[in-house]
Amino acid sequence: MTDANPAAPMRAQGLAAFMREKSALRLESLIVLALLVAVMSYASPYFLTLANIFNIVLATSTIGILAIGATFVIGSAGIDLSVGSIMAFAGVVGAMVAAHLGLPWWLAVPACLAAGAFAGWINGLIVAYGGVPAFVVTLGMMGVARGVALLITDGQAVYGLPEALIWLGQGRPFGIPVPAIGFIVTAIILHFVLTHTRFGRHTLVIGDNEHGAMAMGVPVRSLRIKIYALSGLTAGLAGLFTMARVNAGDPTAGMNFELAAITASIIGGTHLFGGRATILGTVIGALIMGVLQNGLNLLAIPSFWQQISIGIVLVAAVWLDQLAKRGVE
Amino acid sequence: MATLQLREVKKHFGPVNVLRGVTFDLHPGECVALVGDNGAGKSTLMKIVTGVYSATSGSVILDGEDISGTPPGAIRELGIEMIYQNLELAGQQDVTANIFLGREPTRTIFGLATNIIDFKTARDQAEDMIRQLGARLPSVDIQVGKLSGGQQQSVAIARALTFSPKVVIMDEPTAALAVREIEHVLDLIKELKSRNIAVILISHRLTDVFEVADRIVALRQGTVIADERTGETTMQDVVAHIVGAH
Amino acid sequence: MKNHLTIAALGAAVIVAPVTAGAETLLYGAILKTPANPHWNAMTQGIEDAAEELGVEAVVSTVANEGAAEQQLNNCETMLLREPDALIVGAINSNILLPCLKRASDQGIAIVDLDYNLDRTIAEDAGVTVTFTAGNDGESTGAVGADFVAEQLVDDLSGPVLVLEGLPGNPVGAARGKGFRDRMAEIAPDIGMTTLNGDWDRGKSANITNDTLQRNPDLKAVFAANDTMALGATEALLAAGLDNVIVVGVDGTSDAIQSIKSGRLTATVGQFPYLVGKRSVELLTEKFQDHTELDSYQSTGQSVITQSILEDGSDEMIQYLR
Ligand SMILES: Nc1ncnc2c1ncn2[C@@H]1O[C@H](COP(=O)(O)OP(=O)(O)OP(=O)(O)O)[C@@H](O)[C@H]1O
Ligand SMILES: [Mg+2]
Repeated sequence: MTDANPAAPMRAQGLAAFMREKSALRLESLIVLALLVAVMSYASPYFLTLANIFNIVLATSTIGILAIGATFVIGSAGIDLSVGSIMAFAGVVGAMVAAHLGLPWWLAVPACLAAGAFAGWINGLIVAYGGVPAFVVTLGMMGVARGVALLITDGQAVYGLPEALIWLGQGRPFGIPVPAIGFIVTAIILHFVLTHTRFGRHTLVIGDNEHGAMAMGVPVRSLRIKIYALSGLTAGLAGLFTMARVNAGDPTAGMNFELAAITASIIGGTHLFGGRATILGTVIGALIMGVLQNGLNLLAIPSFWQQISIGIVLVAAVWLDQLAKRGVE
Repeated sequence: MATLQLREVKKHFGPVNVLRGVTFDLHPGECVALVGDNGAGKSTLMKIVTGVYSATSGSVILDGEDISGTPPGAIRELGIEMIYQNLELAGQQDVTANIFLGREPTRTIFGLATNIIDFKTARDQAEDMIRQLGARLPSVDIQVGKLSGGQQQSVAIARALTFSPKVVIMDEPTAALAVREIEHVLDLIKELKSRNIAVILISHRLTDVFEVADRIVALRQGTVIADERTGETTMQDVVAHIVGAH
Repeated sequence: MKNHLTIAALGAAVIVAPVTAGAETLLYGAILKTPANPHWNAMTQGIEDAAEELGVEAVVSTVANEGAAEQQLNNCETMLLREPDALIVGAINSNILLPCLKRASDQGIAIVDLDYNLDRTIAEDAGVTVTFTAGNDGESTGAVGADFVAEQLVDDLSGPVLVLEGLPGNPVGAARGKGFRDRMAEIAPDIGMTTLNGDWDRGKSANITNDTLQRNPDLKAVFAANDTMALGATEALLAAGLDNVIVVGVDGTSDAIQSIKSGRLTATVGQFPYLVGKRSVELLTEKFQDHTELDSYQSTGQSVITQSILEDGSDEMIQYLR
């Protein structure tokens, strides 16, 4: 009914605008990644080898999987500060199942996933029905999950897993580390879920306008519960791989990983206040952090430089994005 | 028989009494204008009809069945659509996503129902709907937040009309529009009436109200103080009801 | 009426406290870190066992986590109310407890520093008199690790060797790393060494080990400032199919011992926190009861634990593993 002249059609103004329009993927983060790869390749002859690339993906897998879960949560305008603790909790539960309880090794897999999803589900339940802000709920869970992990292990890592379980962390079929495969497969599946299913699209819609979604009949509460449970599930998966990789369920694992996961997601273009997010962007964000760490390790540069550079990249990526937006509008 | 009946609908938010027992009927093909001062309770009443709020007491009856307390999604399934005062669009999502929000067509795989969205169907239907409405949008793939106010209103209207509703509620649909666009909304309401769809129009523009409405219901402080046929009242009378000069 | 009762109750508490503290039995207040860390659990056991053996009283206070410095200060202040004869302190950092410890010093309370957590220079500047420090200083621990690694690599002392320190800025990890490097450089001046921060984290240490292998596929040894990092490195090496790289950790945690037993981790420089706690109480009691003069630094012993030692029990220190 608007007969009046429509606003000038938004033509894709170059690739950046096109990508913003189509996928919410920041071209900026790809550029940053490419630049980093170029610099690192120049600085270290060991950087750009197939073995090292697998190595980077392996090192990125834990934070990457957590960040994929965080992408759903932040996309829905929520926050989950408990994933680092849930990861430790799930790893400990899985390790106890496999090492202490005399159960078949493979039960550790559903045990980790269930432990993670359960903790996330509790988060979701309280956020959705208790009306307590997610920041507070997940901050509480951060303490509870870590505390329970320490409690049930008496503070000692659960060491000594069955070989078959260790393979999940240390195996390299076709030369590719299993956790790296797990990371990539998780990314592909959850990319599809986010972009192609009602659950995924509704996740972004409630991050955009929760009230509107509710008025249009989106079951906002059950959706939130699912989102936090998913975040717990990915934390459980990260816990599984880490546990298998280091051959121990370590109750102190994953300290501060929630912040790294959020950082990766934000670098990758997830809108901090919800509504826009892509898994591909998050994977790139996580890889940026992984490449930085790997490169600086190869160059034997002390780790405060790693912290400094990741901080700079985070702010730079978001700032570049703001600049680009202003340029378009 | 009336399509929609409101019976003694009451609502209070904590100690604040917003609706003190509202009763009126809406018939097929009829347009009722709901008028009243700011804060009279018009939007609240309509949100009770759509299930966004639940009434403290009283009932909402659709085609003879009490639908009070039904959640928003199910109310839409029953054929009541509302264009909200603030449109309730998701600004970062595209036009298609907004039109199909909550009712995305899904695909079956090997004969099994899935939650996978059928984007092609959705997009085609969205384009169709926009064309039927004569709305001029650059593309249904554009983020709604980047559209002009009038264009956004078109999207909200398209969303309400895509699923052949029985009742359409419009909460100040012309507030953000230029004169020519207002004409389009009024034409649209007439068209809905001719298709036997019942319309509730909330508006502060009495000229619009007198152009399209069959009846005028005036709310003041949460009660109906007048329910008159358009032909049997005058603008002065309606103004008097609204401001409480009677 | 109610008010009177409360006051009475308070009065009772105040009166009772000094009585239980007892002028006869010696009272030691231990201000430790978190019981979530097995290290401090073993320390607590050592303190309590020794106290029971010697017929002295020990009260142990702990905090919620490794970062709860304020809480530890509160624990210290509360402990002073009990008027202990000595404070046994595992300080979270080198300065937070100083005001409390100063008051303790002023009251003539003996102060034992556990594990070199206090900086003695800073403490003395603040007017705190430390009676003695019990434990092993990080540099000597690193040196013990270096001696062991050099012994293992004796045929080829060219390296490369990876050194994993803890969180950046943590003095214990840094001292252990420095001790290792210094001794190693003495033994083998040309050895190639790389130092990185494993942040006390298993996964991070595994990543660093993988990265280092890209650059140094011929990696000979890893020295990590604690067992957690050493175990991460071990698993990364095994995953890469390398089972002949020497990996040495520090502490002697139960998972490290299990790993050594099963032939994965090469060795750990055992710290025996149980013994640190036990010796502290024993030394204090000697001081009070026999008026012995004590050295200001009391080494409680450390020793390299390997698979063969665990199998044949040739080092009696292993009885103190917890
Ligand atoms: N969620 C709420 N909580 C508390 N009070 C509310 C809430 N929603 C509405 N109200 C109050 O109810 C009254 C009626 O509001 P409502 O939005 O229904 O008015 P209206 O008739 O639509 O006004 P307008 O013409 O300005 O849109 C107002 O006083 C408003 O402050
Ligand atoms: Mg209103």
